[in-house]
Amino acid sequence: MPLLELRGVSAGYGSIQILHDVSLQVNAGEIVSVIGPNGAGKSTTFKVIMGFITYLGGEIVFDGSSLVGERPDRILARGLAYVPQGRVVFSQMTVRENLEMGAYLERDRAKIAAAMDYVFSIFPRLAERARQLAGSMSGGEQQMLAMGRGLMMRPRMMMLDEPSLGLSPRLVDEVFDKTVAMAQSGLTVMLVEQNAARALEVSQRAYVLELGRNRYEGTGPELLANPEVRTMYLGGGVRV
Amino acid sequence: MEKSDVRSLYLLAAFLVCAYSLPFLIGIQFGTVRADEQWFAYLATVVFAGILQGGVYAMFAVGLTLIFGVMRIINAAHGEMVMMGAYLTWVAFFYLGVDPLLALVFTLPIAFLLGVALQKVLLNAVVGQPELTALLVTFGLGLTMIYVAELIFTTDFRTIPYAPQTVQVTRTIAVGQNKLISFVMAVSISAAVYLFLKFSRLGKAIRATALNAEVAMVCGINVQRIYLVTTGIAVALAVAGGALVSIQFGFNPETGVVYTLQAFAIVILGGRGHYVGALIGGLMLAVLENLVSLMIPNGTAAVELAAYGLMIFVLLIRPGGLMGVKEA
Repeated sequence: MPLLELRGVSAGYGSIQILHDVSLQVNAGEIVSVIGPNGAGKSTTFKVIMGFITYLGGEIVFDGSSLVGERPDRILARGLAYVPQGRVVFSQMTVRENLEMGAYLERDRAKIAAAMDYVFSIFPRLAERARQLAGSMSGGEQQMLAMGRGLMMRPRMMMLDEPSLGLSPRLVDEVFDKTVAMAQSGLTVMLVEQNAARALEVSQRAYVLELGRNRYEGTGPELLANPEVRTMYLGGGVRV
Repeated sequence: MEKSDVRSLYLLAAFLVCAYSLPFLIGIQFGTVRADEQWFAYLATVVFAGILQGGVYAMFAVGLTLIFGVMRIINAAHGEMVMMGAYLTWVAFFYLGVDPLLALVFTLPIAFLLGVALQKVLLNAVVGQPELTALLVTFGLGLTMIYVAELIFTTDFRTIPYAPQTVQVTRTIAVGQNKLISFVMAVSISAAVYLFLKFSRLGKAIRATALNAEVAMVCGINVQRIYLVTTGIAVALAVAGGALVSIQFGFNPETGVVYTLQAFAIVILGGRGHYVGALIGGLMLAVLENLVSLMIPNGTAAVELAAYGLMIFVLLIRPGGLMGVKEA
């Protein structure tokens, strides 16, 4: 049974429908990418899972029960974390405070401290910067902080929205390396990326969306080898 | 800091120097400034009294800045909440015989609950709407509160006689005991709220929501609940401000309008949504007002003029205020 499953999900903003019958599955332990051009509905897929936009139909199941109508805090408490795009950190708070906010639902101080140690073990640079204001860090560090914050509740699965957006090639590599490292420590990852080639390299499976509909699906190597996918989404080489 | 940011800060500093020297220049013109010992004693006294008053202003301005910071709602009824606090204290004093400061023990929880109710009934509907919508709604609320208060209490001015003795602070400075007590209370309450926001779990969540509500939600913060708590605290701060104002000055149902505008001026001066900015802004405005009232004949009108002149010029020179808040 997949950890997360979307069956025929339709959704939109108000009366404008963006997603049409989107179906996808993420199995425990996998890295699954969702790629596609701008406006394909990639980020919208995350937003409908979180309940941030108008849900129009279909079924969203996480770990055996429905997520439809669930509050964001309940979704996180059930083990599904979401890291929005754009290095979203609390800029006027310190790195440590940002991480504490990630563990807002956890009352047990020992568990919070353990989670913070775990995050620091994956992102050692955050430990060095613990007392610094998040807004004063580089873009790459802010992205790491957003990911680290998403790990603070020790979720089973993380949804990462465009983690490489606007980063230099070296930092893009680092972000993908960290994503693989998180997956190796047992986290299931669903990744939305513009940088399709890079995303497919680290993913076990991937879905290609176009205009809010399923277009292709397959393993990372399959899609990388698919001539149509290559010309449409990978033609220009690595997109940043 | 960017270059233009630094420049606007210098400009603001230069403007403030002018603003603070203007009363002196006008005073010299009108002969109200006399360089003798007695006059300097007056001057020291009004500056000191200004600082005391500023502490109280700052406290209720913090309430305004909190609501704005977290929800982007400009609460035009804030002064009416201050007025409500004054009447709550007055009723407690004259009808129940409760000491005005002791009354805070039950007026503050009542104010908090009223804030929560206000959020549920009215403000939740305007969160995320254009700022003008919220401004109009709260403006209407303020007017409603004024007329309700007039129905109940009439338009007569009320005063609460409290701690009327004068305290000799130094050889030259003497102020009313009530003013000293108010200042100490205001500083304690502001400091408590500051520590709460800085260090408590809920306080941090309020700050996080102010910085980015969507990410706060992603962190599992129940943003709706944060809104309730924020407005609750803001109304409690306004009511506490009302209590402290009521033992110093006379008030009637229309007094609140002045406090709303003062709070606006303070928040704009300090930087919208900025806690420490509101505290500094409160002190600065009150000191300026007191200087004006000492040196300019026909003080009351000039005092009002100084506050709103300050507000308009700060908006022109540096819309982000002293703390330089960037527009989102």
